[in-house]
Parts: sequence; structure tokens; C-alpha cells
Amino acid sequence: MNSPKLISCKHCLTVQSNESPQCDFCELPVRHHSDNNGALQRAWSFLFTAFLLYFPANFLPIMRTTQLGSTTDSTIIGGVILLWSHHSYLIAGIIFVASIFVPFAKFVALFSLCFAQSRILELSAKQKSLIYRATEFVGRWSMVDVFVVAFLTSLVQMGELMTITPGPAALAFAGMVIFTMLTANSLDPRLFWNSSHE
Amino acid sequence: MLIFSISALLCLVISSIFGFVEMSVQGQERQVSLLDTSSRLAQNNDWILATISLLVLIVIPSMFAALLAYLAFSLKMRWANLRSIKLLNAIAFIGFWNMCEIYFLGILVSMVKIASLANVSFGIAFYAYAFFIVFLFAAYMHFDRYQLSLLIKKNISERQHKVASHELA
Repeated sequence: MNSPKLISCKHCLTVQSNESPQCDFCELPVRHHSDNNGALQRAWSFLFTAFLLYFPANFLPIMRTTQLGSTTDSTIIGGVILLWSHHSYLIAGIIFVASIFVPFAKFVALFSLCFAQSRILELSAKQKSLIYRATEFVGRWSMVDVFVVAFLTSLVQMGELMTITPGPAALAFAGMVIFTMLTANSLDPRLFWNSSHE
Repeated sequence: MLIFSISALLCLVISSIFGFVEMSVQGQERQVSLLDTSSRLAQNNDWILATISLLVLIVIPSMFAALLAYLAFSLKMRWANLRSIKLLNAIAFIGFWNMCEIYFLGILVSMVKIASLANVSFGIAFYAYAFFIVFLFAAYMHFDRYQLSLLIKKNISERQHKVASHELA
């Protein structure tokens, strides 16, 4: 039995025949999956940019603390170790998960999705959808360390006594998170099911 | 959704006016407001970080709450039209970039980091921001694109039916 070819409008979610160029209800153009060929190229370019930013984000100092004339630089990993040594295990755990583990896991997930869409890696549509949803959900939480630095910069401005300023890694880290979010945003999850049908 | 989003907007206004956190070290005191996060970064010439902070902490959450309130109000007043469909998409897109809860977690982490170095106390704005996040989350819980698009369609068809029956009469 031949099932009718249907498409869901991305704007109003009305399901209709996929032959019409316009939505029957909202009259906005219906975007077919095949119109979205640029999505994968966009995703790759965003992902590479994010990956390039991953190295300065992790190896350059994210925060500069000036206390009584002496300046100390701290990296993300250094901050986690310092919190752990001060017995703040929960906060050290949160920072480790949000700033080190999640970005790394996100890169693994996004590279797997892009490789799968480029037919280099074999993944089922269900696996791809699960990875995509998880990446989309956890993506923003890596920003926590950038906000810590931004907030401490505004709060700790005590002149010679103690001053905190953001290091070069803060911008690199924010850029990395934003570019991974853009990668997830530019992947069209409908394409996962397309490639599995083929 | 309407009540929660209006409450969220009110809380955001309160948190922007009053002091957020106060810190004192060896007799020196300093109070910061919500806007100070981005203004201080701008003073340090970290313009990109300042813009990102301003956008994701104040501009995007306030737009998100305002658009949710407008959508809920237009549905309640049965004003919803085809443009409301575009509004649904805009809200979904803005919601993706809303990071106020992550900022709140960032503040709590910062407090732990400097607790051993200084005395820190929370101002009214801090609690207002916490309530803002709770109300915004409660409003967002009711944001179901499919159900809302059905409601918009119902609004439009009811209005069309009314116009048609008027013309017949």
C-alpha cells in the first residue's frame, strides 16, 4: 500500500500533502528536507570553529586575580583543582561536569552526528535523535564558568586589595559554547530520518 | 502562562533596580546590581563578553517573558491571528538562547569561591531574580508549540465563522 507523502509545516506544525509549496493553513512556505542541504555544511563550519576555540578556552587563563599587587592566573582545570583542595567537592564537581566533561562530550556527540550525516559513521536514526536531543539540552550549561568570571569581575573590584578580571579564555570559552549551540541549531533533525529511509 | 510571565517581568524589573549582592573585605564595601555584570566588562574593554552577558542575562529573558505574556494575552482576548504563528517560532528561538538559570548557578558558584575571602550578603534583587527564574520556568512549562498552534487555529476559525455568520445575517 502506498502511503500518502505528508509533510509537517515547520511554523504551525500542520500536517499536509508535501506537494504544496505553501502551507494550507498559515500560508508560509513549506520547507522540504531537500531544501536544507546547506544545513550540514553550516554545522561542520560551526563545529570546526568551536573545536578551534576549545584549545585556548582550556589552556589559557580564564580569570586573573590581583591581590595586594601580585597577579595570579587561573585556568578552568586549575579552578577545579583549587576548589577540590578547599573541600568544595560539590562545586568542584559542578564546574568539572559543566566546563570540562560536558564540552568534551558535546564535541564527541556533534562530531558523531556530523560524521553520520556525511555517511562516514553508521548510526541509526533513533540513536542520532537521542544524541541530538541530549546535546541540545546540555549545550547551554557549559556557560556557567563564563558567568562565574563575569559576575566575579563585576563584584570583586577592591582596588589594590583584590581585583578580578577575565582572562583570554573567557571569551574563547563563551565563543566555543555559542558555536556548539549554533551547530546543534543548524542540524535539521528531520534529515536523520531521511538518511535512514534511504 | 499570562500570570506567570507578567510576574516574571515584574520580578526582573525589581531585580534590575535594587542591589544584587553586597561584599565587604577589611572594611571596604561594594554593592553590585544585575546590570553591573555587563557594564563592568564593558569598562574593562571586554566588549564582546559584555554584549553576550547583556543579551543572555537581561535582553533575551525579558523579551522571552514579554512575548510569552503577549501571546497568552492575545489568546485570552481571542486576537490571535496568522502572525501569532510567527510569534510562536520567535518565542521558541529566543527560549533556546535564554540562560538566566545558568547565570544563577554561576552566582552560587561564585559565592562559594569567594566565601573564604570576603563577607557576602544577598540583596532584594537576588531573591527577585530567583523568583523571576521560577516564574519564567512556570510560564515556559505551558509553552507547548503544538497545543498553542491548535489554539491559534481555533481562534482564527472562530473569528472566520463569526464573520461568515454576520455576512449571512
